[in-house]
Amino acid sequence: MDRREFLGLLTLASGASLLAGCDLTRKSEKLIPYLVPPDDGIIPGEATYVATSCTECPAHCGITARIREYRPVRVDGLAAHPVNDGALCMRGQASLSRLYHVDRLRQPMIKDPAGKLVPGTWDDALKRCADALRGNGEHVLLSKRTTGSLSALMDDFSSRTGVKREPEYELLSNAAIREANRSIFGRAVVPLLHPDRADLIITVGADVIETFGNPVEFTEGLSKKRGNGNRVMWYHAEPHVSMSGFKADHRLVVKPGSEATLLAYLLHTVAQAKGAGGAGAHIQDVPAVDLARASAATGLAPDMVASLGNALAHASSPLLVAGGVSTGQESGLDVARIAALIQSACGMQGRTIDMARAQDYSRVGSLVDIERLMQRLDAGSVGTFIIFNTDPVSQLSNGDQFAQSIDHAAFVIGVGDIMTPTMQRADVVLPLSHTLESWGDAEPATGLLNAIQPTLAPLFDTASDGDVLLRLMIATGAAAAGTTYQQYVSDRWSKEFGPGAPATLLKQGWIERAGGSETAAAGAPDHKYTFDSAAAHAGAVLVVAPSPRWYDGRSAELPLLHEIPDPLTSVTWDSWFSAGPETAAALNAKEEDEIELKGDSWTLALPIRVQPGLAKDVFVVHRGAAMTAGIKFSRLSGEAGTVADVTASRTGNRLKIAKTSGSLTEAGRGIVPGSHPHHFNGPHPEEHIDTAHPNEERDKFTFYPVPKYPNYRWAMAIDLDKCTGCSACVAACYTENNVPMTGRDQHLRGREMAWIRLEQYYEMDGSKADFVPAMCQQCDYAPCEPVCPVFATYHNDEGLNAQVYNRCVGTRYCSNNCPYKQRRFNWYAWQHRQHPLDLMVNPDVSIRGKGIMEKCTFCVQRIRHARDVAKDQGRKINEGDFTTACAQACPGKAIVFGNLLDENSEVHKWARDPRSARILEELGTSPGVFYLKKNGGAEHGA
Amino acid sequence: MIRRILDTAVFGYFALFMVLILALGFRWHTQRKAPVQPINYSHQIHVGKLNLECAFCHETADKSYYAGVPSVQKCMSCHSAVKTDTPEIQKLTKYWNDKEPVPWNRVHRIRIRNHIYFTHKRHIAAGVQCEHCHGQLAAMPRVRQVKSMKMGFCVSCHEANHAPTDCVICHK
Amino acid sequence: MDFLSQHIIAPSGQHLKMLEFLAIVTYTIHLPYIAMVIGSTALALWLTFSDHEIPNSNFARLADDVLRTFLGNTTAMLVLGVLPLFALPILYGIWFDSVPMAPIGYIVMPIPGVVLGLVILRFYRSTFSGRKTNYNQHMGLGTLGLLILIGSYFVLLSSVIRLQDPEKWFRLKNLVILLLNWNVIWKFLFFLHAAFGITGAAILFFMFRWSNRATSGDPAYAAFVRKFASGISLAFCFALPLFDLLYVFTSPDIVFDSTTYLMATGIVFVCMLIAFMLIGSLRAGAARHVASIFTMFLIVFVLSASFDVRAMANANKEHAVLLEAQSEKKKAEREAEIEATLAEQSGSSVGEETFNKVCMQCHRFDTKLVGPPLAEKLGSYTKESLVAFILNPTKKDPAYPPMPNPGLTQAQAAAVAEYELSHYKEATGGAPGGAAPAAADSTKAQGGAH
Repeated sequence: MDRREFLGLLTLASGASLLAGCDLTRKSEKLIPYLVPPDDGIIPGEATYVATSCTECPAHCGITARIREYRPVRVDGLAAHPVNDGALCMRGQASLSRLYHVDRLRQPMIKDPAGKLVPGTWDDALKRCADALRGNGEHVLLSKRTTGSLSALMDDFSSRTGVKREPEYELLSNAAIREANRSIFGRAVVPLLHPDRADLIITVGADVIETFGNPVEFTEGLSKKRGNGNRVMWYHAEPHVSMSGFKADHRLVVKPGSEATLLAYLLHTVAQAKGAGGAGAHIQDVPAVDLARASAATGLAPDMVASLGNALAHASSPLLVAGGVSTGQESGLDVARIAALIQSACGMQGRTIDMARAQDYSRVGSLVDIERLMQRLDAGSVGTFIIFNTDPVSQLSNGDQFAQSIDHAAFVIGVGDIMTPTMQRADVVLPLSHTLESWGDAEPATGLLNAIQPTLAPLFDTASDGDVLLRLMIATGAAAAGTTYQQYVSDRWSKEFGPGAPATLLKQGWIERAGGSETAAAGAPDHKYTFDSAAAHAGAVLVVAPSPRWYDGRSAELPLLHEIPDPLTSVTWDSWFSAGPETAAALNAKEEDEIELKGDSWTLALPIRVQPGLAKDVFVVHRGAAMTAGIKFSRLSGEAGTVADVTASRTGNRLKIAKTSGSLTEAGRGIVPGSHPHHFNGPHPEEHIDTAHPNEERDKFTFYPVPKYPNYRWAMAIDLDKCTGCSACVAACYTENNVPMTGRDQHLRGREMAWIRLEQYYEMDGSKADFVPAMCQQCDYAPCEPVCPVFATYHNDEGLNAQVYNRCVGTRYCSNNCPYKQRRFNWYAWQHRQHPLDLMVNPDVSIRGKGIMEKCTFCVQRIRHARDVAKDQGRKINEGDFTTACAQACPGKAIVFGNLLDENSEVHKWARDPRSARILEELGTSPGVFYLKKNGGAEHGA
Repeated sequence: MIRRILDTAVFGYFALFMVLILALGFRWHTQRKAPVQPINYSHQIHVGKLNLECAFCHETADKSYYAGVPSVQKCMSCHSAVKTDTPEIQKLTKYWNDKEPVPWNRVHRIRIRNHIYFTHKRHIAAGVQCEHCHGQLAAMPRVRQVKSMKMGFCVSCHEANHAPTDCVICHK
Repeated sequence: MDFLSQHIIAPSGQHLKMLEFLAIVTYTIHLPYIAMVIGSTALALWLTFSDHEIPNSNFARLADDVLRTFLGNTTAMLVLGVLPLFALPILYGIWFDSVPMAPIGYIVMPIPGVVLGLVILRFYRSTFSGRKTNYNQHMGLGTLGLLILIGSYFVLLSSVIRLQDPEKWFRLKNLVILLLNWNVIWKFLFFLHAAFGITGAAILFFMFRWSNRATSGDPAYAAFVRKFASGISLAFCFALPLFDLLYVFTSPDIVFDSTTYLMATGIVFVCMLIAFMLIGSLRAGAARHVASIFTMFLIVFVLSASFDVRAMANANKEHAVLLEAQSEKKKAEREAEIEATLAEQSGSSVGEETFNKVCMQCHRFDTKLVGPPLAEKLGSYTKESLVAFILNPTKKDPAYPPMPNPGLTQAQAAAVAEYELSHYKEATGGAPGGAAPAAADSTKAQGGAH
């Protein structure tokens, strides 16, 4: 009799049989059949895929949703999509958790007489809205950036209902760049970048890997370039610190506010070398800056500045772009203009910069428009105020003022998916469906359209954004009853892209048409340059940078994006100041000491995290962290901010910061591949990697059973040059493998559950930073296996350290014995119980219970599925049949996965690459994960 | 006095065992017995007498991990005309008219289903007969679980037929 | 087995019930006797041994009496001990007719062992008188016979018990696997303890009530026998519930129904009664209600046997149903043949009757039910092809569910085909493929339905 039965018997003997009986009868499971089987050919248990668009940020990548039993269980990048080509960033991966967000609005909310929002019905809500819209006063609609059909529908809406459409509110709107392009070339666009066509890349402040433009697209272009070994040298100049900086070949730390000076120097150098080009007249207006001034202002070594100038002047196909924090300051417009002039002078337009395939920001305003709106609101001239799916109150630095202004409107209609601070100000809140529940389309760039089509019936009583507008129009009699947004978009598709378009869009997910000209001629000069190349900031500087996790703060609503560590600092659930070591020393502050920053009219107190590579007296805080401090930004381009002349002081409090990595350096432990004398250099002799036939010499001395792999040896290779540390893989793993979210308290105890983590190792002087994505290394001679007393973890004949969850009894010996610390223990039963989060489960992966050890298994469920398909066709699993979630998500295509025994597989080639090395190889564990050492762009070239 | 204590002890001793056996019986009754179904559907008639193919109703057994419970429409495709006068079929018709699916009770209870990946598809592709695991359904007026469906049952058959016995083939 | 099932007892439903009953009866007359033989021999051996070490007239006399009582009667040995053995394989053979892998082969195996054991014990008994001279030979014979007997019954019980767990049949490759199983072991221990229990009770019964072996002569001996027998019986009676429980606990789920659990509980209950009676008689200092104690023990054996047979039947319920279905089909076929031949002689339309009885479940001539209207289809059939289709239907028209096999005989099928085609001809006026049903026909068909 086994243990369970014995215990069962005891229970019964102790007279608990009745209880047991009730319990069991309650547990009797039902099998509910279809009433009428679906005719769409969907087989229960088989996944289907729907191509649609991501709307988590304005980049609008194409995504494909994996659907099981009429419920999307995962989103991946849409293969061959012109923007993201199968990859998807961390925010896109996490957007699934917005669909299943616990705080989603489930029905319209209506303010009751007591001024409290209570659940109501659509009819009631719409009636109130209609009455309000018939009322007097000017009616305005404020939305975030909209594209495609939604934008068109909004025009119809405002024309038919007389609601004035405000300039769209988008915090990271690149206003300066648009303004520069408008005033010089007459085209207010944010051009598309082509790093893959460049032989020299200079980025000034633009965090092209995290948030600027379309990060996924840039990363792909960059790694494509770096991949095939062409010469590309990447200089990144920035006042603060970003992943882009550390991934560049040369990170130029410039003094805040000196970017314009640097660019002016470059502009004149280029102009001398190449001639002024089309924009000569403009160039005359730019104050001349000589080498000495430039180097003095930026704080860079003269020869560095000079070499930068030479490189730019002599590069055949350079790419220079300024943006992000550099255009988000007082001299931001100058920076943008000079950058634009350099672009035209070097003839980048049409080569590395595409003016045609640009993100359309034409309707987006700037903070100036927001200020005007607030004035009108305060004046009480606004009747009905429709806030459409945006959250200025929590995103604006002066959000509380904006909130008060909202209250001055006679009637406020909020349209949103979550009860944000902005929505709480509304009189009626109309609930939005998630993109995955909606019809619609999105326009990543002019001439490129993504389809948005539903993947499941709305979970709650919600409507898609287009349908909300249409319902409002119907309610006000501005549209015929019964018109649906689905009809609207498909009509518009055939109108805009021809009759075949709807079919193409629904099948392929996107459609493309020729844009305008890729170049633009300069108009007449009309600008006074105000930047002062001699100026230097007296006090400290606070840089408010866009967050790679929360973008402008909108994604901070998703718990998953707090659970995933910030790539640079590994901070998870907290807000913090990043400060350089010198800064901390000057303040005599240690990690996690609370620092108070004072501006002219604001103070902000947060704990600091020491960030190597950050200049002295520069503090960095992320968008979406703690933005209610009333910080004043540049009025024109307030999207990202450098705030000068702040004073920093220690409050004396010590706070806790939830973070996943305790130390910033590897302290010579040789964790980073290739950073240790023991590490193997040069091409591997066979026995180092040919795990199919391990060599007898070594195996004589091992206590471990010698693995034999008849058919497959699943292995992974990661190119640290291509890896940008963007953490898309981490997010992908979370959603694919039902990895539980544990929250701040547990993180403070070091109990995060991520199966793949991004380790960051710095030289404390900031000269170098390595990002190493680390997951279970699937060793041939795995130390975790022999110590398991119950055979819950073992080595299978395909090279996996398999983990049998329901065998595990939680001794945690394996975790203690793992040199890579890649095993995670369930201290509690983490499975999500709140609806609808309990639906966010990948049914192919079991939910681990309390007291069970779990870890990466190379997505064994995908291997299983691939084997199933292969067996149907009577063959072995081939290269390309499947890949792991992390490899699939990687924008840099830095991860390859496959069968090491297959001579033709990518992983086989990479493993034999001269740069190939494995972590802690000297331990003799012979891991199945290979890392291609970082060797910098210099060695890429001749 | 001692006598009574002795008698009580003896009685208690035997009574204990009777309670235990009855308790086992109760456990069996509550969770091991073949569940009573909302409609008294008989495989004996449909498979035994009419010898319908299993796949005629359990359509996805060879396509998915999930054998599939036939839709109510499926039942009605015949029973809109056949045996419409019998009470059981009238129950069915009522479900159909109320547009409600029939809440069948699960017969094969597997303790750790969450951790197991079992696919009918592969087993049928390998030529395993339905009867091997589900018993002689042709002779079951009410379906009951005839095989333990424990790991030993699976593994012994896998070994006998040289099917893979790697843990992660089934444990997910 | 085929021979048996065809000529002696055809395995139909009622017959299987009867077989179960027979099995119980066989066990009831056989097992208690064997139990007493085993128990008594063991006791006799022990008594003789003790008497040999420290001479004790009581021991010697009791041993002699016990042997006389239980091994004395050769006829009893034949009738109760040997004959029923040969019934068992036949019973199970018929029951498990045409079942692959059923371990009934093991049932035959121990029979020679049992016979041999009994014969040896017979010799052992006859050498009792000469035990003083050649003690070793006497004891040797006894022990040998006893061991052979116990061993054989271990195998016999195991193979019978294993019939209750079809899931494991294909694993029973050899004797070791057969015997190494908790369920089997608990059952066998139950049997052994019951054996000693009933032996004690039997000693009381046969030497105080049946005969006066104990009471004649000195009362000291009588008291000794009474205490000895009651003590043994009581002690082992206490052990029985434990093994009963363990046996039930280790039995697979499929063997159970409510009755089996009641039987198992009943065993414990009877044991309790026995215990109280024995305690009573011990307290009274006289051999009280010995008859009822003995009967109670018999009941324990009956219950235990019924449990096993019932369990076996439950575990193989489906098989029983299949056999039943087979035999009924055979019967029906025979009748149908007769009917058909009669019909052909008397010329009455068996075709129409069969059509109304079977086909009209799904088919009409002119209207669509489950199956297509015959008028549409019949045009494409000759009589032969139609008969062939009826006997072995295949899915023809995707618009309809496949036609189940109506299970008609050749003759019936022919008659139905005949009827349908003729009816079709007169409906369509013989026009091939045409589908204009005459109103009369349809009403007639409808009428036939009710």
